[in-house]
Amino acid sequence: MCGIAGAFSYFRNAAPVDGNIIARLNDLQKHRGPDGEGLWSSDDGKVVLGHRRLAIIDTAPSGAQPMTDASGRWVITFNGEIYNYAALRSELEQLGCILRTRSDTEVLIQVIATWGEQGLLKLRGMFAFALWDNLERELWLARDPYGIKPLYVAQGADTIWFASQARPLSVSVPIRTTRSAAALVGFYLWGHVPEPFSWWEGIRMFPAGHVQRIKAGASIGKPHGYKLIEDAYAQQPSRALLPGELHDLLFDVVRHHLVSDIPVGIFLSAGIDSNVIAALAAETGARLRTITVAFDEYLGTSNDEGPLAEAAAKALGSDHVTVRVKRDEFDTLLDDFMAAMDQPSIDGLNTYLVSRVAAQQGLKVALSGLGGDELFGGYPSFWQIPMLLRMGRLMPNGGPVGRGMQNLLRVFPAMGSSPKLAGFISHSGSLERAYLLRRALYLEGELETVLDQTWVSAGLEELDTAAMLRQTIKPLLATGGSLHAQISALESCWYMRNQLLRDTDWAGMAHGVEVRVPFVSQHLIDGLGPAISSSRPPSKSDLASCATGIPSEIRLRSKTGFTTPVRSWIAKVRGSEPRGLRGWAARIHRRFRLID
Amino acid sequence: MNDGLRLAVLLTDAFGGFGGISKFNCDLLDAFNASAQVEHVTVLPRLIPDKICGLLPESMVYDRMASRGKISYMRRVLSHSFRDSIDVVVCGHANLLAAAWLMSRLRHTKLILIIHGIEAWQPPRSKVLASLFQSVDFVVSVSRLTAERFSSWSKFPLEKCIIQPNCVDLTRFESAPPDEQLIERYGLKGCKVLMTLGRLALKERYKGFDEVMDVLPSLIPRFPNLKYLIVGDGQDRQRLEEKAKVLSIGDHVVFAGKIPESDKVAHYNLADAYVMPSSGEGFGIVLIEAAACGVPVIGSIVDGSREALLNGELGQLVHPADVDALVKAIVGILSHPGERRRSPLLDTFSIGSFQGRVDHWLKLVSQDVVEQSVLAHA
Repeated sequence: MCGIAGAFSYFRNAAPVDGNIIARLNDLQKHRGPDGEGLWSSDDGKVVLGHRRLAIIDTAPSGAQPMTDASGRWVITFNGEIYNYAALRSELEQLGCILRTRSDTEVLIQVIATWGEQGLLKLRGMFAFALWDNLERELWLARDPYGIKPLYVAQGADTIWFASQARPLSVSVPIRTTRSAAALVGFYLWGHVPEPFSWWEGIRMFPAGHVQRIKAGASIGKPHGYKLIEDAYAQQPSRALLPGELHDLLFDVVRHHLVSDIPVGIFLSAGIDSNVIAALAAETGARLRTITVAFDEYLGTSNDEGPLAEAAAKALGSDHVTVRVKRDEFDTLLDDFMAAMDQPSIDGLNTYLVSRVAAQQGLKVALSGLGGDELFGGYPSFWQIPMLLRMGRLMPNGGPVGRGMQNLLRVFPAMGSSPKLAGFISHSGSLERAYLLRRALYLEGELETVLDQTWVSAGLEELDTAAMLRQTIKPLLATGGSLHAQISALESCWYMRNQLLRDTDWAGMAHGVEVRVPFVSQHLIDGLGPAISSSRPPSKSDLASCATGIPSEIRLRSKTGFTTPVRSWIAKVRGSEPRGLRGWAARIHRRFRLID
Repeated sequence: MNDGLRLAVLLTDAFGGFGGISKFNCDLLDAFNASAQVEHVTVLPRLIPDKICGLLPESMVYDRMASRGKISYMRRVLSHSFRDSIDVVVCGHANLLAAAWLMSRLRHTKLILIIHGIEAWQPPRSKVLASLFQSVDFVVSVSRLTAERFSSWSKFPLEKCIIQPNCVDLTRFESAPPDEQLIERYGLKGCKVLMTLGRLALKERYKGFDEVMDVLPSLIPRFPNLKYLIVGDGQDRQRLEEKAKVLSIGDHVVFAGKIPESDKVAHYNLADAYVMPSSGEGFGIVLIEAAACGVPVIGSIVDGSREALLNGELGQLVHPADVDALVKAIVGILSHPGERRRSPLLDTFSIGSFQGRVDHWLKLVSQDVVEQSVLAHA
């Protein structure tokens, strides 16, 4: 896991790329790869690739990047891991391929060289890469189907620029980087900047599950999808899982995610997700190193994950560390945290704290239970949204009762309740709107209380949120996917992709820690897709049953995610009003308003 | 990173407005947006005369409903008072003080008053309104002159007044060769050009148009190709046109009418001298704009223009009633044109300097707000 950067002056008479810009991007992404730096330029200077290395597989110098293959035809800069690289290597060698190194990077080159775009479907892992084909004079850009690894792209008149993070691009490349209305409005709508937008006009996120091939001298074209997660959900026929099937799938995924030449840690909480990962990891025979972050604030309360996680670690026989975080430590970290944030986000502090602890323990890689709630129905949205839709059918938005209730709620917002209460009627008519209500920080109608109407109308138009949400569930609707599966798809492709995966990347990388996410695996969703759509989708209880020895207190714990007092810490009290998450969003916006 | 200030700003006009006060307000709002002390700004404009173009500062809500009349304005003031979180109320004009005062009382916030010029030189007729000035916590004045005159009747301590002169985009207002199309349009070919830019408003007869027109008959014999370019429009135009006829200088006075902001630089660069012997300017931003374009400037010694010209460092100062001094100054410039140069002293009116001053007093306000909050929780 590393940082990539580069540029291609693809236009016929374009001047060579200014290599200093890529060197600068490397420098700005230093935290992503403290183990090494590389810069490669084509003979005519029109392609420049940069790389910052976090050495995990093949830590020898031979694993350095940008990497050229044995023939000299291909050059790659790659961020991510190909977990099945060993099996792919065997397959390639059987076809007569000669590989010089032990790295997954070289395997990736040969996968594309041998199988082209079809090769992307053979990959199990997380990746964002730029691959130069010197024979065809073509640059490949690609990103994994879930979008675990980021790839930001800026397009100039005759040059395309790319990097792992948006902020370094915004200060380095010679393109217009004014504020994106879609990003500003999206941030207040969701609490993060939704793909494909970035905080800066002119910089976009390369779409997940897409590949783009840019030929020298030709028009730039567009990325096209090679594998979309929503298609995995739309598999038919749906069927319940067979006994043992879930265990086998998960065991295989966890085993793959442990592939590494250096120790792999596990972020262990008191939740089912991380405990199952740890238990399955123990089954592989790997030596476990588990880390729990606990808070002084919760000492002695039921929110304290420390004792439960320690008990679980003991049962697993892992090498365990519990680190306690104090309130004043948080206060001093806040500036660094804000400085590390690539784009505005109201989250990320949990991952930032736990990654910091991992780095202090000397770990460069750790497994996280991220993605478990999306797959196994762990979020409240899985029961709230169906309920909301049922109410919507009883009190349609356009009907007299619905309108009356809305007006009442608008005039008399219930004291102490969520500001979104008035929106529950206007947003109960469709799954897209119900999902927006569930996840929105501000509803569309509330945006003009914080942003000027010029921004709001420009931003909402560009975001086209309802249509984009509908796009995600379209394949499921076409094949009769269940409501549960549709919610799962939305949570995976929206909240998880745009909030959790994004934050995990920059927050982990801020400490030079690669966070791996076994539940976020295209192989896993391919296997589980039909079951998620069935009348008996796999639940957290099914997940817990996959691993033996999980203490019952953990099994029965209703809380999901890694509980932290961070929300109350950041909800500053001014006068008599707690400001909550919206106040925090305003603070984050202020920070990002001023960094330009 | 501590909490930023949430401001409610009541002003006459800003975006979509025109004139010196409107420009100051736009610059002020931009400065708030660029300040680390500010989290959010809600603006209640009393007027939006023209269409607002482009995107507004991103930290701001510009309440357009407030500009639909007096009743709408008060309704919006009350609505924001009850619904919004506000730390500080900024009153952008003395005429809006009653509304601003109400909001600051309802929200228990500090009240800042901005004074521009003539509107603050005399107390209001109503004693009730006059008493509201006692409740103001901070006063920000565009010029020292205005602060002095305000202090003398309101008793607000002069030393507590913060001076915040207007600013000019020094990257935009620069010397440039005269625009041939404009020369053609106004018939200025081969002419020496005096220029004044401003509203020709009945109430604003203090700009000095009359004073310049009065000396033209004595200048024309010496400079037969002299033209006086009056840029701006208003209700007083007809009277001035008549006056030009009466003085038989009709051929030497050109009324350009109102011009868009984007054409200002081109117009300044037509002038050999910018002349504004005014008597009621709170500041006179146009003097700085002209000076930034390298145009020699003549301003007034009796009003805020004196400070705009840094007491004579950026241009010449004359008493508007002193006809001889005015003629001498104009003759001096026209006889010795010299090279168009821009003084480095102009930097004090740069956007950066403006921002610095705003940050400074926002910090004072912020400290005050924090102290108040601490006391409230003690």
